[in-house]
Amino acid sequence: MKEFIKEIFIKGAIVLLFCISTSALIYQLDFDHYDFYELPEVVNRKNNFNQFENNINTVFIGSSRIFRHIDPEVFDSITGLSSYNLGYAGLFPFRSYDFLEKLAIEDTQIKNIFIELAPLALLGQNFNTEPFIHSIDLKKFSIALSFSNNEVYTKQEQLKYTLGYSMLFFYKYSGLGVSKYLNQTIFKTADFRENRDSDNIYTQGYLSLDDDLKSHGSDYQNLQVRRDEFHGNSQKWLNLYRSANESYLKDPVTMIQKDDFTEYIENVVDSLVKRGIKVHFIISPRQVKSDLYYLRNQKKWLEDYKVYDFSDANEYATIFTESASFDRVHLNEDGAEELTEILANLYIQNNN
Amino acid sequence: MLFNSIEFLVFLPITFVLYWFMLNKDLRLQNLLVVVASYIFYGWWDWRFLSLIFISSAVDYSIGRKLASVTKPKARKYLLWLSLALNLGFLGVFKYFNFFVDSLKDAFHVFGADIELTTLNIVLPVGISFYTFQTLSYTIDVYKGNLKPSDDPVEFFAFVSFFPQLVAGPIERATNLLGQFSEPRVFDYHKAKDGVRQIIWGFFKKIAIADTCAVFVNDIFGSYADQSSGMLLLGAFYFAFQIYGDFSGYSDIAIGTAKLFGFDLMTNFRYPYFSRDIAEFWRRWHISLSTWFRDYLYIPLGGSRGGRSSAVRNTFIIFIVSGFWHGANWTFIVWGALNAIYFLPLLLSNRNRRNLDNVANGSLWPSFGEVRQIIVTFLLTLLAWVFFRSPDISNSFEYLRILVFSGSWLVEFSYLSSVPMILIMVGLEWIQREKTHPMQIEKLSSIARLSVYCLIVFLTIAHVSSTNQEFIYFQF
Repeated sequence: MKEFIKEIFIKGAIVLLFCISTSALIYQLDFDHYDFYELPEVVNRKNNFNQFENNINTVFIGSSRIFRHIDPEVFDSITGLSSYNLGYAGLFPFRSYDFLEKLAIEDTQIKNIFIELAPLALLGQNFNTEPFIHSIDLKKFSIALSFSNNEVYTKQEQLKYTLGYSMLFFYKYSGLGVSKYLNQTIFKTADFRENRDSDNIYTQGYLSLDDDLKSHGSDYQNLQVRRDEFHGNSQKWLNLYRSANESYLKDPVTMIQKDDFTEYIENVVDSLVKRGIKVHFIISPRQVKSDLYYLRNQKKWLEDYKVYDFSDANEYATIFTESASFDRVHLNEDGAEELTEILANLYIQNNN
Repeated sequence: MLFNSIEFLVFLPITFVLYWFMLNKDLRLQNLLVVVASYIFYGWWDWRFLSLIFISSAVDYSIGRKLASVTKPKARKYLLWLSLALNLGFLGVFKYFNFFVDSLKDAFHVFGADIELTTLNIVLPVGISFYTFQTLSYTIDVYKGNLKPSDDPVEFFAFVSFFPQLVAGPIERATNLLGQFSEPRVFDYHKAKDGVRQIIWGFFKKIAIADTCAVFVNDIFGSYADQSSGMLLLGAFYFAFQIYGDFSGYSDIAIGTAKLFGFDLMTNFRYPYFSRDIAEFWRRWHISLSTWFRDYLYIPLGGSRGGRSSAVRNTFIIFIVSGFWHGANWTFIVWGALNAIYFLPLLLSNRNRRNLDNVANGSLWPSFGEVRQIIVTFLLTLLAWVFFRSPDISNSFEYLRILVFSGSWLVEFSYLSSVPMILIMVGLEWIQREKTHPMQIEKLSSIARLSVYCLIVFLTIAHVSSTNQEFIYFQF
């Protein structure tokens, strides 16, 4: 019995080592399979953007808090700019910054880029999906590990981030799903995933959660549950965000040293700035305490950039109300319009 | 719980450690652990249907005990019918009720009369056809006096619910498996090692073959009207390997897992696509089901003893019932009937037991004649698989019509990415066709063996993706 278990462990380790080295080798090959592992909705958003890029001078990038919250029509009507919403659910760092690089904005007419400032979040139970797995590499893994040790996060949150990113790193370099890279290179394999069509409502720009619900789209049931869950106890959730803000105002934790993640962001946007593109950051409303603390520190570190911070529940009270809410994290259509108007007016103030 | 899930990756080592390290001194506790682990394994999918397994096990155990004490033939027959009625009743309600109701409505509609009948809105319990047949074999064997009834309920419940083969077979006979629960278990290093190798091979077939083919199969069958003949042929070809990789892969994982716990399950597949005729194919495909029908249906019906006409009738019956066992759809019945039609010429010309050995026995390469026979047999199965895969009969015929008449045999290169994996599998199976499974490579040097493990495990892991599917045979 002991011999059997010993053999399983030794041979298992050798096989694992083989898988890791082979997949690391494959990842070293100069492939560009972004369109294959990133969500079709995101890829099509990129393709749609490329179609219209000559008429666009402003883009928004980030997660659902950009996708569901920034209405380009409202923004353009106030600012006179011509904008495009490239946000999508779960498009957190590092995926959002990869997306930014893939857009090759340096080669376009873009003059303004608004990026959601978000912590290195993982999307609940869906974090181990291909887009997240492929957004990690050795350098980003070390950034994630240093981020995980941030003092503003509780021990439990630190452990969650460390384990989550370690699993992502393991998934990728143990070779899980690596055949897709080779098959795509050799066979140019067709993409059979859902939402591949560029006309899909999810593949285009801004879509409010109210309109999404009305359309009875693929996420209908989930949206209903989330909406009902929030409205069943809306004050509890809204007070959570308010008290996070109060708590920070009373007792702010100041992190002195700029972290690796912020340096990474600066490196990514540096080339854009050098080419005369104005980079703005947005901190979305409704941040939980630890994220709010982190983002307020990050805002200070990014002092060379304009950061539009909507996390202050006192200053932006109108978007911290039940009538402006869809669920606990997101605004409804009215809330999104309100937020877009505030952002547009702030933009005008800052650029006059 | 799926074999290809993270949960199983945790469940298996925990059960293994408890079984061999904590409870290895007490056989009854080991059997009890098998029951508990099996109920967790099954309940992970839907705990409500555990009651069906429990009732089925309890009733058959009680009937078995009763059969031991009752001697009157009439009373014994009554007990047998009670078991048949209960087990087939569950199967009938959960699997076939809606089919019969819909067929009845269709039949009335054909004659111009529309009737209102209610169908049931129920879910088909996973693996119900498998464990129902397993418990039935027990009662029938006890009734016939071929088996001593079990006097230990824990042993019997473990036999019915044994998790490696509970949801998709092999359908074990009580004569083979039940007795193993009463024998003291000693860890067998070689058996466990062989089990791990078979599990590795099973996962390769499931993930690198079946799941990759499934993506193309779904696409081609889903839009067959727009496809060329070549693409439709490729779709049928891929489905042949999807269902083989899926089902035989499951069996390999099941048999390998059972070996880890000291059990020997029956072989379920013996390289069926190397068969030289349909009779040989059916001796190599889903062996546990075909032998079940042979022993519990074909022979009781008289087999071939009543002359040619009864042999023909009985052959049709078992093939059609076997098709119907797979699902409540006319497509399965046609699939079964088609196989009976393939089989009949061999039966009538007494050539159905011609190819009992392995193809190209003793040599590496087959003869030209053997290659021709293998290809013809494979193409016949391919034709039948179209019926098995299609949603209904009219779609099957339309698929075949376009395949034959569309004329263009061009195949899109991007759809060929599963072919290298199929070639690797077929190549290894061919070389190892005299072994129980292709991972029996003890004769190779340790470096060569390790290289094979590395390659197969890597190819398996490399094909894990979000498109990985459930096992097809769960629905049967």
